[in-house]
Amino acid sequence: MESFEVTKKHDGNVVVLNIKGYLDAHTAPMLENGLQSLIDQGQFRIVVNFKDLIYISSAGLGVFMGFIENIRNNQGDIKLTNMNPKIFRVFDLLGFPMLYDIMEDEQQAITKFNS
Amino acid sequence: MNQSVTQEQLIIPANFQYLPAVRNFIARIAAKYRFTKSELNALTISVDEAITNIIKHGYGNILSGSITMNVNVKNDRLVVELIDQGKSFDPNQVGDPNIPHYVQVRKKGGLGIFIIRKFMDDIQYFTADHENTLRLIKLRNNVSLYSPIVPINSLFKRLKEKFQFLTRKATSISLKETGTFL
Repeated sequence: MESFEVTKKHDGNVVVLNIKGYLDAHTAPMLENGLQSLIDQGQFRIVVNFKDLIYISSAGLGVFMGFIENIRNNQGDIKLTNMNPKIFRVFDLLGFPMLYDIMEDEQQAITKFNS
Repeated sequence: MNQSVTQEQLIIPANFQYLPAVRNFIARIAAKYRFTKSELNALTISVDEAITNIIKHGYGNILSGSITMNVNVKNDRLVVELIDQGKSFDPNQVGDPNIPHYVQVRKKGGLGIFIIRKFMDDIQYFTADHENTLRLIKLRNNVSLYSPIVPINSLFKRLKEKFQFLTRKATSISLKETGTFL
């Protein structure tokens, strides 16, 4: 059965969300809730690791669009890392690389936050 | 060239929780009819986006709706028909999104149609008798993989042409050789 999971870990003052499985209109609210709870806690430095994400539709991309402005207004950012080529293609198609920091590797993103 | 090779059908309730079933259905057909990886990916995301739009905008809060999905595997194209009885919504009437603007206004929707346009070769939409039909068409890259009728005919035609050419060539060579001998 296709499923979706979000797990959270802290690395200094950065929070890393690992997303796993299938992100579509059915599962997008789970990620939405995850990001919303970080914002509610005043956590605005966020890395989302896509290593274990198998599939994304526009409903998943929309989640990032819904939060980015608020996070950046609070001197934070959402950095996206470890995308496989199939997932990156969807982001690229919509011009996301112009708007989001999409990086090869989670550690690289954490380092950038701390630099 | 366009005769239908086969048709597969799936009927689902208009609920996001059935999106995995739709994707699995496409994956099964893809394996059965040997779609390329790129055809499978294009079809999966386009159908997902289209069904998401039907559930969200066509049916809205109506939970009792259903969506019928017909997949026609043809020699030169894959055609997916999505039939619903919700509110009509012609994707061809929608422009492409301005993503930076969408981010500014925190608009989350409207990306699906853009994705469908990028991955599909043609989108057709019509409404008749309170029923909407959205037709997504993907042209096939490698026609000869699954098309037993037409390629054999065209192959035969090509062979025949080639044979005639070779016959002509052989005749001229033989005449030339004869000439040399003479």
